[in-house]
Amino acid sequence: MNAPDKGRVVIVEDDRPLREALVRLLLEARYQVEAFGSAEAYLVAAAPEDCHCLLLDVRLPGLSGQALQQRLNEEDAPRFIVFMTGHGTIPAAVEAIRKGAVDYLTKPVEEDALFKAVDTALDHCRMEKALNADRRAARTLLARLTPRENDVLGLVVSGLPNKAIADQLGIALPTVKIHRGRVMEKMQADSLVDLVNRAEQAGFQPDSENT
Amino acid sequence: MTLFYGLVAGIALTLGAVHLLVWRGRSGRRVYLLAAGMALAACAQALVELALARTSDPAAAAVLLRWGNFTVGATLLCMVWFVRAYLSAGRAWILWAITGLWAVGLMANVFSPYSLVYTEITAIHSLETFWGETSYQVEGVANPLKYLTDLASFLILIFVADAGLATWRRGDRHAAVTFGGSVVFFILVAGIHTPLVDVGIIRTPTIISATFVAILAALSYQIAWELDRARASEKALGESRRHVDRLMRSNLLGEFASSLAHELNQPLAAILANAQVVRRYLGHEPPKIAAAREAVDSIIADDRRASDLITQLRTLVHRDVVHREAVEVTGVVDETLALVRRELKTQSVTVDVVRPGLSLTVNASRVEMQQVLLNLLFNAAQAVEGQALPRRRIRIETAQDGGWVWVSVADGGPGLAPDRIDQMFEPFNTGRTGNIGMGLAICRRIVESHGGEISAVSGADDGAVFTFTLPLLEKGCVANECAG
Repeated sequence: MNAPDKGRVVIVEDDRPLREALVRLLLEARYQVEAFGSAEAYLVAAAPEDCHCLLLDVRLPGLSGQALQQRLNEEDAPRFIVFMTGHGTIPAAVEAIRKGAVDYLTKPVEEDALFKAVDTALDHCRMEKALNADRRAARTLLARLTPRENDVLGLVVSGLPNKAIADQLGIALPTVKIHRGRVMEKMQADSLVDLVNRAEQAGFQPDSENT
Repeated sequence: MTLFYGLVAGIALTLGAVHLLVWRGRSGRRVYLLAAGMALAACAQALVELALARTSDPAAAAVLLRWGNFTVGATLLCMVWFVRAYLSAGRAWILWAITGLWAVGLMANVFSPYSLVYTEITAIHSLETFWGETSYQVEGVANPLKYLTDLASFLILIFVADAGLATWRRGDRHAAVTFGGSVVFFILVAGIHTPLVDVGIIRTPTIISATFVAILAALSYQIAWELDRARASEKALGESRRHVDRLMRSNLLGEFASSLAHELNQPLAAILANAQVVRRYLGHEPPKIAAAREAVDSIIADDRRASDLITQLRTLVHRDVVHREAVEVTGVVDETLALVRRELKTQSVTVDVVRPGLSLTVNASRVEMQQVLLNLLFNAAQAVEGQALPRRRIRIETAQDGGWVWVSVADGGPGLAPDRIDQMFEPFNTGRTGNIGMGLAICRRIVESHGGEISAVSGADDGAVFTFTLPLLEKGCVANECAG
């Protein structure tokens, strides 16, 4: 019975019987479910850092589904939204997707379509989360480099061989090799490709004066 | 000559009569009265000119000249004021100067011995017209005061030309040409011809009346042209209004359909989700029977919700004749209240019933009456929901007014927004979610099919009051013989 949970789904739907039916279906399909009757209630209660799929009704009293999406985008807290609508139009669907929605479903929703959309949203959410974690880690590593190591990293990333780096920085070739070894170590890179990737993840910008 | 002046007088009289009729028909626009005045004065002028041309007696001629000045003055003044009123153009000060000059001139006309035109009549010439008729021509010493009215004629030229120019610039070129052009042209003709006759340079009878009638005809033509155009544009306006009506109706239909789709979709979506979850519950080993039963109960409830919606919709569009009978109104009120009393009690809503002193009978469908009352009671109950306890009251009153029975349902709720009252009885007009707003539309359809009316107001103590009327059934009238 204690099957692994497939992720968190937050439902915002004003029609109580429909909301309850969706909760029932998603719980049975082993999702973790939370439900709200209005966009306002969701804004008050939902924790944005939690990875969740927002299953959002378009037509809501008060703040509408689209307005909620707009607001979350403006607050730079985009969610992984699956819209549900009674009478969707193509322009409305395009607009929603353009603003970052994962899917746009028409009521009544078939369970397969629902689960597929929810899973896609949760996958996106997890990927984004993992990507963010990698970025944070790479930035932490990058911060530990000394200024000189930073210079060497910039020239390595731009593809110069050690000899050219030594000439450009006006230091001896063995010194460059030592710096380079430390950079590889500190950035936890096994290869040059690894190093370049990590530098990119960390948002590394070589100093312009040395390039 | 008699024929000519007679014709002129006749035309003037006819035009005058036409303008008078238009004036009376068009809720008294001043322009038509002025035009009529001008026409009648021109008619009188024609008769005066005819008499002048046929008199050889200086004393009689002096009297006629005096009269003629009055008719000329009246015609010109009516004309300029008409131009001003019709075109809404022209300078007021010139208008008043013209009026003033003529007032002085007419005063002089009364007190001068030989009218405004002459200080003395020296001779009366007899002259032969080229078609062989004899007419008479007065000769005398010119009265210097006559220049006052000649100046007035000059000012009229300026005034009309100026008004015409302003109208032209305003873009109303047709009016500018007919008004300005005709008046200027004919005043020039009369204004040059008449003084020449007066001072004896040319010898013909005066033809002022004829020029007036020509001006009048031009002005009348312009008025007729504009009336015709106004009628055409009214027709066009009516057509575009009908077009807008049609559009609005089709738009309303669109809203109706989209609202219905939404409201039907909700229970359908819930039914589908619940049915799918039941299938999953039953797939377990052992099946989750209790959970499945709960979901099936929801399916049943949602199915009823959808079906109620369809019933409401059918009631709204249903046009079949329902069974009608003699129904006692307070009886229906009591029956309906019995249906909802318990629910109202749980919401702590008090209901006051005000009964009439006598039994009031209407020819109606009992079921439909109940439906109307139920709708109004539900609305009232919803309105008082959340109000303080003393305001959680509904008052149903039945009374008779002449041949009508009226029933009102008043609540202690927050009342109605005045701008929403008109739309409330339209289908799909709702301020609440989970309600598609057909209740009042159904009430209206039922009440109107019974020959009554339904209306709503915000009451004296601010709650809403819905009132409907039904025709009182006459005594001795059997149900099926009575028209609704």
